[in-house]
Amino acid sequence: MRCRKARWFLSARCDETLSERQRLRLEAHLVGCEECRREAFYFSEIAVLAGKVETRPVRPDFDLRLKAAIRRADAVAAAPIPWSQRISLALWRPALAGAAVLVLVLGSIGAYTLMHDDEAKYLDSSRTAGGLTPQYGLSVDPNGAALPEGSLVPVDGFDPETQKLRDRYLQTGQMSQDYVTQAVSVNDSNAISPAHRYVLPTVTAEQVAKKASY
Amino acid sequence: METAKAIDHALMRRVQKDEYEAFEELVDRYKSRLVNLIYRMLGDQNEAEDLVQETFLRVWTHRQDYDFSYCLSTWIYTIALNLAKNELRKRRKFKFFSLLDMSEKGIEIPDPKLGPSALGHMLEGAIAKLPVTYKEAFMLRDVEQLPYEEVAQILGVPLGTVKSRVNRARAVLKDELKPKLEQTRALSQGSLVPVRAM
Repeated sequence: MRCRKARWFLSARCDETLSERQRLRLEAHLVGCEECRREAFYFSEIAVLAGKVETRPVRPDFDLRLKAAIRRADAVAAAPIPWSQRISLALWRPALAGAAVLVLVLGSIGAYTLMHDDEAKYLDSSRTAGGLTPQYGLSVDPNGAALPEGSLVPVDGFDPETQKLRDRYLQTGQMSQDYVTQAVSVNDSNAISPAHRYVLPTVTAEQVAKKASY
Repeated sequence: METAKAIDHALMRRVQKDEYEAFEELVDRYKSRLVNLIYRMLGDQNEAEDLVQETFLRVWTHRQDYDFSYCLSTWIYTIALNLAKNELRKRRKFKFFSLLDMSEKGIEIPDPKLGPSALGHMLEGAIAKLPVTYKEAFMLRDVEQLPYEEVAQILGVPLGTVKSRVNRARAVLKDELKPKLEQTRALSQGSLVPVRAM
């Protein structure tokens, strides 16, 4: 056994937790190593001294003070709650529950209003930006005529009639699926979110005819 | 012969039936050990007694919550040590120093020249200088002589960690007391006789 390993075992030797084999090897090492024997002495001396550490005297009135503290604690635990406190407790809890419900309701209303405000702002901005009256939903020309730029056409999520209209525009070539994708991404980038609408680019009757001839 | 654990459990059963005499017996069994431990942690006798009082107060208040699958000593030591650690945390937070505790950690370190009996006092001074984690492990294991397993339960750390902390604490103390220990060793071997200069 080397000194390094022997020193590692010295603390365990004090606790007598070494295995028989480890103990024998350590003792054999200690016989031949003065330095480790010295360290072993220090460790055992520390263990002996620790067992003799002076116990601190406790003040004689400790028990009396403890008894008084326990009496006080017991008295507090046993005392009935005063009526004023009971009333305040009785009112405080329902009031808190009511306030929580109110916050939830107001929060939901606020969130709903904000969402719809965004939508309204989007429509307003379309109107002013293009100088054109936006057409969306069923107000779009049902005959499938070419639509001016800035027209708003539903993509998804509208009633079946509107969906049909959208499909017709796609079929007649007034718009292509590319436009749908492009328009949706434009709307997304504006963070206005009505992903069910998009803005048509200028599509003239000539372009429609040209597209139809391909 | 009844073991300490069996005696503690018998007392605790009586305490749970609100027998104050049994509680007093329990207090007598533990108060000195707890004051000793907390004093070594905080370095203030009055504060140590206050915290031990608080510990017993909690034992009494929560007597019905005691789980008999654990040693009572583990429960009591855990409460006391947690209170001591909270106190130390508070001190660190508010940087509180008592004017009475101007000596190192509040514990007087005796002069090494006082003689062989001073070695025990020197050890106490060296314990006071240990880091808290080493100190609590050393106190519980070597001073209170609790088994490693119980120390691990009280401190809430793995067994290996406790062994390592105790080992390191012993090594630090050994280095701290080396000169004095060497003197003791030489004297015990008769190889060095102190000569007083005339």
